[in-house]
Amino acid sequence: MPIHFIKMENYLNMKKRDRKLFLLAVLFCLGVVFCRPVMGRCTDDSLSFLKEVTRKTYPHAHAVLSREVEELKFKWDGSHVDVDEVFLTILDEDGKRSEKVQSFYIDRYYSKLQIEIMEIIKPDGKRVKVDLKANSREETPTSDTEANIYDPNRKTLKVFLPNLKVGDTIHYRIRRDTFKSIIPDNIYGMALGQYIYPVRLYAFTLRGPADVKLYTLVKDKVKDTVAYKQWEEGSTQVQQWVFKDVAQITPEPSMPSFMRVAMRLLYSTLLSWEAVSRWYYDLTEPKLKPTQAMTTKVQELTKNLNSDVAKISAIFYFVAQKIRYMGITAEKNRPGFEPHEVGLTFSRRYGVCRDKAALLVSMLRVAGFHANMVLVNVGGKLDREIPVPYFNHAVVVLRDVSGRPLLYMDPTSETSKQFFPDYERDCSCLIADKKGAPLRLTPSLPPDENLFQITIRDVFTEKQHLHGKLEAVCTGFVDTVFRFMMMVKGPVERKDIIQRMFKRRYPGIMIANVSLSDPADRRHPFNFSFDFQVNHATISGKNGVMFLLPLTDMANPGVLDRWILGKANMVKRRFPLRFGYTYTTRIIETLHFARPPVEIELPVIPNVSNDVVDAWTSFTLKRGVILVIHRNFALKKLEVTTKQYQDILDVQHIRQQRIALPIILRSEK
Amino acid sequence: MKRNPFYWLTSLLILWGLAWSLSWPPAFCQTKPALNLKAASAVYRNIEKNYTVESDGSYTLITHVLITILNYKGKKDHADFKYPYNTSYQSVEIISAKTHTRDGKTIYVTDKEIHDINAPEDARAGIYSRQHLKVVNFPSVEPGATVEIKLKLQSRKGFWAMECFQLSDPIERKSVSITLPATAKLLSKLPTIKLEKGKKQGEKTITYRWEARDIPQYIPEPYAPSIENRRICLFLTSLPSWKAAAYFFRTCLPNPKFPGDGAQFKGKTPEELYISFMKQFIPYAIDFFHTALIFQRPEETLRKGYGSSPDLAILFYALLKMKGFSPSYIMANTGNVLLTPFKKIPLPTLFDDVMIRCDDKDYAFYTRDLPPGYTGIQDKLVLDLKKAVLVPAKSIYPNRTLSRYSFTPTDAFNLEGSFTIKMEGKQAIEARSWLRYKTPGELRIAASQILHDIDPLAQPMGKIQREGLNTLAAPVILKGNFSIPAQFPESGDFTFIPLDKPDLPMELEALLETRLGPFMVSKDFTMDDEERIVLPDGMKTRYLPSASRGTLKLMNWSLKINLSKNAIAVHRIIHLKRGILYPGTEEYQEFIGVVRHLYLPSNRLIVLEKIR
Repeated sequence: MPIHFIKMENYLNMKKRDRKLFLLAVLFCLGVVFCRPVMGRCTDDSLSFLKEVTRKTYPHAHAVLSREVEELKFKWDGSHVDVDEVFLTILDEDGKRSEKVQSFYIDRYYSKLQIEIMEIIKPDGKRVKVDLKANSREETPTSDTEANIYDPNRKTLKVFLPNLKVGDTIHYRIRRDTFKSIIPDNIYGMALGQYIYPVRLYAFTLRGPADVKLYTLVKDKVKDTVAYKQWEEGSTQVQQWVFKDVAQITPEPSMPSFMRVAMRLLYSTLLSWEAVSRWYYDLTEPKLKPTQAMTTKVQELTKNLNSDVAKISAIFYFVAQKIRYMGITAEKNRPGFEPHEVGLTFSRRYGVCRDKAALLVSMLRVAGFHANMVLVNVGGKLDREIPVPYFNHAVVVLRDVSGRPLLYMDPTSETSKQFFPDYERDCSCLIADKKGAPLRLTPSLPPDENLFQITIRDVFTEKQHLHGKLEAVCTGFVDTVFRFMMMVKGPVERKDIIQRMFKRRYPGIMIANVSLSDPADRRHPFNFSFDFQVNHATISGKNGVMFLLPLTDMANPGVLDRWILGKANMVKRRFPLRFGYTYTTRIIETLHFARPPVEIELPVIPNVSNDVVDAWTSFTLKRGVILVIHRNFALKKLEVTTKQYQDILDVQHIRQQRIALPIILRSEK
Repeated sequence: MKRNPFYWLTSLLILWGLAWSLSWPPAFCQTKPALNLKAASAVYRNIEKNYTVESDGSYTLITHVLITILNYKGKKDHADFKYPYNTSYQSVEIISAKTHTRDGKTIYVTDKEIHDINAPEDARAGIYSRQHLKVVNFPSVEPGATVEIKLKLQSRKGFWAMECFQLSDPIERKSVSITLPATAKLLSKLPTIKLEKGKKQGEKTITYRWEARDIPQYIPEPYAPSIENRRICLFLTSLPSWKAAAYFFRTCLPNPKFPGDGAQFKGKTPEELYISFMKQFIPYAIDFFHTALIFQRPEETLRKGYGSSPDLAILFYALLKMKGFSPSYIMANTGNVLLTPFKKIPLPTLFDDVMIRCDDKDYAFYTRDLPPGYTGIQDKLVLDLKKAVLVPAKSIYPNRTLSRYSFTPTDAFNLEGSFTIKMEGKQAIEARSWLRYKTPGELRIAASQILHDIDPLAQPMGKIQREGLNTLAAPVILKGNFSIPAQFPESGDFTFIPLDKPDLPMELEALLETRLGPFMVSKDFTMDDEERIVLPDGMKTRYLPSASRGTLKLMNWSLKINLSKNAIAVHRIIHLKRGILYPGTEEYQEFIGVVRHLYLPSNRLIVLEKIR
C-alpha cells in the first residue's frame, strides 16, 4: 500500500485536548522524502474481483483495497517511471468521507504526475469517469505554508470525487515519471503491505537493469499473506511481491509510527547507510564555504570567550535566534535537500532546517570545531537493514577528533536553551561524512535532566487560609517548552500564562506578584515565582477536625504531565504507547502552621518504582509546626510495551486518588 | 467663555490641513515615540490606508506600513507579511517592500521573496476557494530593523471595510482616508478609541479622514469577544441600509428552478427533506467571501453530489420551492461575532455563511449530520434576504450534556458503577461524529477512552450502549456499567470522594481576577450532572459540599446534595448564557466569585467517616 495513503488523522482520532503537538509544527523542513515507487497496469477488465468485496465479506471495514497493481521501472541513473493502479471500495459512510478527496503530491523539480484514469465504478459495474478539469485543483501544500515554506514547484493535486456513494469503487491509475532521482544512480522506497483498510490484493513489481543489485526485505510479515517471485526478461530483472488478504490495522492513539508496525516492503539500490551519508556530505559540503562577513561574525561572537562551551553556545544561539525559520528554494541541483549557500542564509537572515544547520556547521568550523550536518527522522526509527533514507529533518553534530559524535544541535529550536530538543531524541539519524557514517539513534536523556521543580513555602493561617510563595525552576525540555511559550508572548501575557496554568491546577487559588526570568536569557534555567493565597483550603469537620488540601495535591502539577502522561488515555492497549519524552516533576512544599495542630494525620500514598516510572510522596514533620511534603514523579521511558502500560494505569489511578487525600488536622484530642 | 463657532471650524480646518499635509512623514525616523514600548515586541510607526471608491462601488486601496521590530516576537510576527485577498474580485500589487536595517542600510525584497499562495484555512474546500495570501518575506530582519511595505489592492464588489485602531503591537500613527464620489453615501461606526476626523469636499469627490496616534497594544486574552465586538475598529460602508446589503446577497444567490421532480429526496416536510437531502451530498464548508461569489447551478450540484455550503443552500432552496414551500435565504455569522451593535451599519462581511429559513426553522449546510433546524447560531441575528432585515436565528436544540454516574462499593476492595451521558445540540453533533461510523476495533478504543475518563483502572461490564447516533434530531445517549478494582481513597477513619471539576466547554477556573479586556461566553451551554454514591458499609457522612444556587448575567447554577440513608447524590446544573462581561464591573467579579465557589477543591470533596 503506498505511503501517501496513510492518513494521519486516523492516528489522532482521540480527545481533542490530547492533541497538544504544538512544538512539532516547526520541525518538518526537509522535502518530503516519501518518493513512492509505483508501477503496474491492470489487465483484468472484468472487474469480477469487485464482487468479492462487500459489506458481508468485510463487515468491519470502512473501505477495502480491493486491488492495487503497482509497477516501478527504474534505470541505471535512478530515474524511474511508476504506474499505480488502485481499486478502493467504499463500504461505509466513514470510508466515503475519508476518501472523498484524493490528494497527490507533486514536486516538479523531480517528477511529472499524470492521472491516466480516475473513475468511480458503481456496484453494478458501471464506470463513471471523473471530469478532472471540473473536479480537481492544484494547491500550495498546507504543510508547507504552515511551516513558512514557499516553493512554487511543490503542489498538491486534489481530486474531489463526484457522487461518491457507499458501495462504489474508486479506480485510478497514476503515472509518475521521476526524471531525476534524489540520490543519483539510486532508487529506494517502502511499500506498505498493510493498512488501516483490509488489503485484498496488492501486487508490487520492480523492474530494472539485471546487473543492478537491489536490496529488499519484507518486515513485520503477516503469516501467509505475501508471495514473492523473481525472474529475468533479457537484461531486465523483475521482482514481484503479492500481498493478499491482509487484515487491517486499527491505529491506537500515540502508538509508534504506522511505518514501524505495519507489514512493509523495503527496497533500495543503496549499498549501505554509509553511502547515503557520503551522498549528503557531497551534496552539502560545497555550500558550507564561509564568507568574510561570517568569519567576522564568528570572531565577534567568540571574542573574549575562553571555553569551548561558551564559544559553541554563542555561535549556536546566534544561528538559532537570528536566522528565522523560513524557506524559499534557491537551489537547482537537489532542491529541497541541499541547503542554501551559507553566505546567503547569513546575509538574508532566514532559512529552513538544512540552511540553518549548514550555517551553524560552517560557523562552528570557522571557530575551529569539528562539525557536520546530520539527517534525522523526527518521530521515530528507520529500519536498519535496508537503507531507505526517509529523513525529514537536518541538524548538526559536533564530533571529537576520531569522529565520534559529541553533541547534537538543532538550530531550528530557536528559543531553547537546550542545544537539542527532546522531540528529536531516540530517532534515527545519519551524519553526513566524507567516508560515510552508520545509521545511529539520537541520544536519550534521563528524566532528571528534564526537571520541573516547584518549591512552595506557605503558611496555614488561623483563619484556615493558605498563603505563601511558589518558585519553579525548569531544566532541559521543560525549560524549552516554557521558553517556546513565553518568547512568542508579550510580558503581560507571560504572567497571565503562569497564573492560568496554576489556576487550572488548583482552582480557586489567587495569585499575585508573578515574576519570571527573561526567556531570552539563556545563561540560567527558566524560572518563575508568585505569591498565592487559597481561602478555604480546608474542610472543617466536627470536634476540631480539619481536612487540609495542600498545594502539593495539585492534579498534573508539571508542565508536561497532562500532555505527556495524558497520552495514556485508554484502559487497555494493543500497541505500545510512545510518550516520546522522559521527564521529572518534583514539588517540595514547606508548610508552616501558624497555630500548630494537636495532631496531624498524614495520608498514606503508595510509592511506585519500576522500569517505567518513579512516583513517590514523603512527609516530614518538624517540631510539630512545619510539614515538609516531597512529591516526585519521573517518567523514565520514551515508549512502553502493552505490559508496561499497566504500570502507567496504576500510577494514574494513584495520582487521581492522591489529589483527594487531605492532611487531617486535629485541634483537640 | 463661549467661542465663536467659526473659531472651532477654522481651528479644525487648520488642524486637518496640517495633518493632511503631513500625510507621509518618514515616521520610522522618529526617535522619541510617545508610546511606552517597554512591553512591545514591535511598533507600527505608521499605517496609512487610502481608499478611493468609484461610483459603482469598486475601489482602490493603497496601504503603506512601517513596522520597527523590537525583539524576537516582533520578528516572528512581522518578518513575513501576509495579505489576504480574493482573486475573483480583487488584485494585489506590491509597490515596494524593503528592510531598513539598524545600521542604516536598505535591503530590498526580491521577486523570490514574494509569493502568492492559497489560503491555508480553506485547504479542505480548496476547490471553492478563491482566497489567497500575498506573502512577502522581508530579508535581514533583526531587532532594530524596520520593515516597510507599500501595496495596492483593487476590489470590484462594493465598498465596505473594517479598520482596526488597536493591534497586537502599539501604533504610533494610523490614518485612514476615503475618497468617494460627492454623491455617494458613507455610513460609519466609530471605535471607542479617540480619532481625529477630517472631511474635504471637492468638486466631484468628498474625502473623509480618521487618524489616531499613540495607541497602546491589545493584549490577547482567552475568551475575548471577536475583534468586531471589541469596539476598537472603524467600520465603513457605502451601502445605505441592510436592505441594500440583502440586495447584494440576492444578486449572488440565484433563485433557480429545481431540475427534475426531486423524487430522490424522500419526505413531505422541510425537516424530512433536509435529512434526505444532506444524506446525499458532501458539503465543503467555506467562508462565503472566500468563494468566487458565483455558485454552482443546481444541475451541477446534483451531478457532482458535493458543493460548497452556499451551493447546497441554493439547491435546497430550489427543492423546497419546487415542493411548494416558501423558503428564504438567510445570511449568518457562524463565528463569534454578535451582530446587535451593527443594526445601523450594513456590513456584508459580518456574514460568512448562507442558510435557509422555512416554516419557522433554519437549516444549515456547513457540515453533514446536523439535526434539521440546528444551526449552531441560535438567537444570534441573521439577515433574512426575503424581508431584508436583521432577525434572530431560530432556536430549537439546546447545547446540553446531562450525565449520571453511580458508584457502589461491592466489597472492601472493589467498586461497581454505571454511567449515562445524554448529549444534545452541539455536544450531540460532536459525539455523533466521533462514534457513529466506528468499526468494532475503533469502538473498542473509544470505549476504552470513555472508561479511562472515569478511572484509569476501570473495566467494562458489558458493552457500552449507544442511542440516537442515527437519528439526527434525537439526543445521543451513552450508557454503560463498569467495575474498578479499588475503593475510594481512605486515610485513617475517613474516606474521601472527590467530585470532578464542572465539565464545561470553557476553562472558567483559569479566568483571572485581573483580566484586562471583555470576557465572552460565545455559546449557550448547559451542564447537568449527578453523581450518586452508595455509602460503603459502616460509613456515615462527615462532610458534604454546601448546596447553593443563583442567577448571574452569564450563568445560572444550582448545586444540590441529597442524602438518604445509604447514599449521597450530588446534582450540579450550570447554564452558561451567551454574552459579554467587562472586567472591573460588579458583574464580572460576581461571575469570578461563583466560578471559584464551584471549582475550589474543598468544595468538591465529600468526606465519609467510619461508624464506631
